[in-house]
Amino acid sequence: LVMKDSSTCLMDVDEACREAGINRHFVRFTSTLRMEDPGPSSKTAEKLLQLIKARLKDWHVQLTDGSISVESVLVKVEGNEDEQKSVYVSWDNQDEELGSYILGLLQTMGQ
Amino acid sequence: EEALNKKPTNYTWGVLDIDEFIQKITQEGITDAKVEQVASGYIIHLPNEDTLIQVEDSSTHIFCEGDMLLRQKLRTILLQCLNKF
Repeated sequence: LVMKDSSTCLMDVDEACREAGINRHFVRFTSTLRMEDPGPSSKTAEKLLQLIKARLKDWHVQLTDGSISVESVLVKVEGNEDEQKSVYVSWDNQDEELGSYILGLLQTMGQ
Repeated sequence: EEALNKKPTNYTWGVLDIDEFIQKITQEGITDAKVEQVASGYIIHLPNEDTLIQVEDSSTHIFCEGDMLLRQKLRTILLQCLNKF
C-alpha cells in the first residue's frame, strides 16, 4: 500500500521500490541433498513431486523442465541412472518457511 | 503444513557490508571465511562448512549442504546486516 501525492494505491513490491528509489537486496538459499534412488533422475523428480503435492494440498506445485516449483522454491534432481542423486532445493528469503519445510520433508525422505 | 505462512516475512534492501558480515560470523564461531573479489562482487568460501556465499550489490545467494542449523545461523546474521521493511 503506497501513499503518493495525498492519494493511496496498491502497488507491487518491486514497483513500489522502484518508485521510492529503494534498491532491494534479494537473498536466496540453495541446499543440496544426496538421495539413493536408482533409475533416471526424472523418475526421482516425479516421486518428489507427488510427495510435495500430497503434503502441500493448498499450494500450486508444478513440474517444469524437470524442476519442481512452489512459489519461489525450486527443486532440481541431478545424477545419472546408476548414481546417487543430488537434489538441489533453493528458495528466496521471503519463502523461508516454505523452503525450509520442503527441504526438511525431502531430508526425511532421503534417510 | 496448514500452519505454513503464505505471506512474506520481510523485504531486504541496501548493499551488504562484507566486513561487518565476516566480523559477525567470526563472532559466531565461523572463523575460516575466505573472501574473494570477483567481477560481479564477492565470493565468501567457508571450506569447513562446505558453504559458498555469492554476494552482489543487489543480491546474496547462500549455497550450502543440508545443514539446517548452519544455514539458519548464516541467514540470521545476513538479515542483521541488511536493511529491512
